[in-house]
Amino acid sequence: MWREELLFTLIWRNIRARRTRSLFTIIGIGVSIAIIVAVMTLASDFKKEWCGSIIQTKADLIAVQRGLTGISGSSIDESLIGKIESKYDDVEHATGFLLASLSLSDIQALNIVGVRPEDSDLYIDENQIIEGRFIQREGEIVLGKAAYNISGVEVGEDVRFQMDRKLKLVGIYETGNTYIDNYAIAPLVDVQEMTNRQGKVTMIALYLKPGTKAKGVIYAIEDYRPDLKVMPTPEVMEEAIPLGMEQVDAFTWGLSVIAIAMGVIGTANTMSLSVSERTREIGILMAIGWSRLKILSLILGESLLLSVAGFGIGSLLGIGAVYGITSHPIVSGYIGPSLDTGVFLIALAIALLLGLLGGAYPAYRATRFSPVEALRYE
Amino acid sequence: MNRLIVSAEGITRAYHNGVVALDNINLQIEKGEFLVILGPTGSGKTTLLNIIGGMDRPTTGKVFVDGTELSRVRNLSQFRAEKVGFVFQLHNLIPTLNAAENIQLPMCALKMASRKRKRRALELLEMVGLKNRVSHTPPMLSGGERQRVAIARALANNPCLVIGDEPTGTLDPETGREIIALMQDLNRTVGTTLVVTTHDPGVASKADRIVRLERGSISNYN
Repeated sequence: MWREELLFTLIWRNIRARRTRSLFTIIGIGVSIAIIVAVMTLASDFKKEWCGSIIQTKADLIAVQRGLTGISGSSIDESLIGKIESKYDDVEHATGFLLASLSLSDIQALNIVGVRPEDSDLYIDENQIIEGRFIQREGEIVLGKAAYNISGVEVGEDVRFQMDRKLKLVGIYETGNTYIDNYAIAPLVDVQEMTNRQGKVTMIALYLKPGTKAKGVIYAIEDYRPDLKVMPTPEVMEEAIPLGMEQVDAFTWGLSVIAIAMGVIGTANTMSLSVSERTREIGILMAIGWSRLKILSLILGESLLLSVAGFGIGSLLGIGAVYGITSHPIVSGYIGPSLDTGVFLIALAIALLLGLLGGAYPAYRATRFSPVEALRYE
Repeated sequence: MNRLIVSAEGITRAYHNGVVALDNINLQIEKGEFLVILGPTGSGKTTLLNIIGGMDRPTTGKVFVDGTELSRVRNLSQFRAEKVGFVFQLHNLIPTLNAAENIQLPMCALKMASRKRKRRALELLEMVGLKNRVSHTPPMLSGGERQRVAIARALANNPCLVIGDEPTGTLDPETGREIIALMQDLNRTVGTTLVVTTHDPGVASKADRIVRLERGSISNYN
């Protein structure tokens, strides 16, 4: 049998003996962990959904304007599409996408991808159309399921934008990516006109011939047009993360640090109280030969066990919060509740760190007791 | 052959506030001896036990236990676990652990395997007459039973020296006599050296030898 079994029995019984205090400490740690899980999951979902919208192009390479952070500000001459297509044999097909956000009313905006009607199937598969059909000509629009749900417009009716502009809704699609399903797809020309960006696209999607090495094409195009940055689609995902995501990341970590601090203070308080109350008990253990390392393990073991229990409760609370938040209509269009194992691993690491930090000082203090003084403690 | 188990040579224990708890104590204790230290409160009995038990260090002087000079021992925890068993006035058991688990605590300090620890704890509980109290926690035991568990715990690692700091101090006279009889019996059967402090002349009468302590000095040997 295990030699340290009794140490763990003692850790477990000490926590159980102070049930109410332990429970409140676990809840306190749980709230900290829940904040971390919820905020990190939501931020990660937002990124994932955004990145998915780029992957959806199914392109091998994406060309965007060089020198910009993120791709939403990219603006490239549409004429370049034809030039690239004719200049490079390895490029089987090229097309342009224009990303825009247009106001439906004073409070409602619609994200639109402008595509050439003949290329719309490169963005949405036919089997993803759940009602109606693709756009086939100018003046038409298809809505993602999430956008359709809040639009109040039915297939066959007009989607009206500000400045008296309108497009006829001809179909509804559903991809499963919450971000894309909150978009609309309209003919490139219409989107260019409505955004006053005639002859411009946000990015050029390049589809290579089978067996072509992407690197050669990237070098060749970037050599031809140094103002373009050509990337394989997965790399674009990182580039494409909008500017605000950095702030979201900073906010996420800032909030996590506050949550960790709250948890550490709560754990340290509980463990300090526990060590004070058990001064005599610690004195007994020292008198009968327990080493300082074993005393340290006892106290740290207790704080780690509390924090792991807090992680369990916090994870459940966090999942609940994520589902609660993403079910709200304002958020549901942009983020779908998808749980990432990575977030839970980070939360577990944070919980363990929290347990170690919270227990460190009380544990150190316990090891500094003199057995004689500790045994005199009333 | 050296029959001495404890040899204290000129030990003094002075505190920062100027109090001298022990003043030039010389004391030899033989193997298997049952020694009682008598003395009023504040006479330095507990300080003396703490020093010979390796829980405190003297300001001056040398203490040898089983041939080891304690000032040269770096790891006193290990020393205590191997060589000394303690029985305190207040039984001082861990309230969340049962009788058998409390007895295993000193063995745990020596990293003894779990199976061996459990077997030894059961043997000791039988030895102190508490075979049927294995799973009882301290609050479920009477004062006398708790002190029996404390005695069993003190014997867990077969120490060469068992120290009792007023082990009958909180017990009624009848139970106190039973506890001393048990300690005496273990002293005879196991051969453990016993050093016990007490106020009680009844307890002292059972000892092989009595040392009287007054104001930090030995005033009388019997």
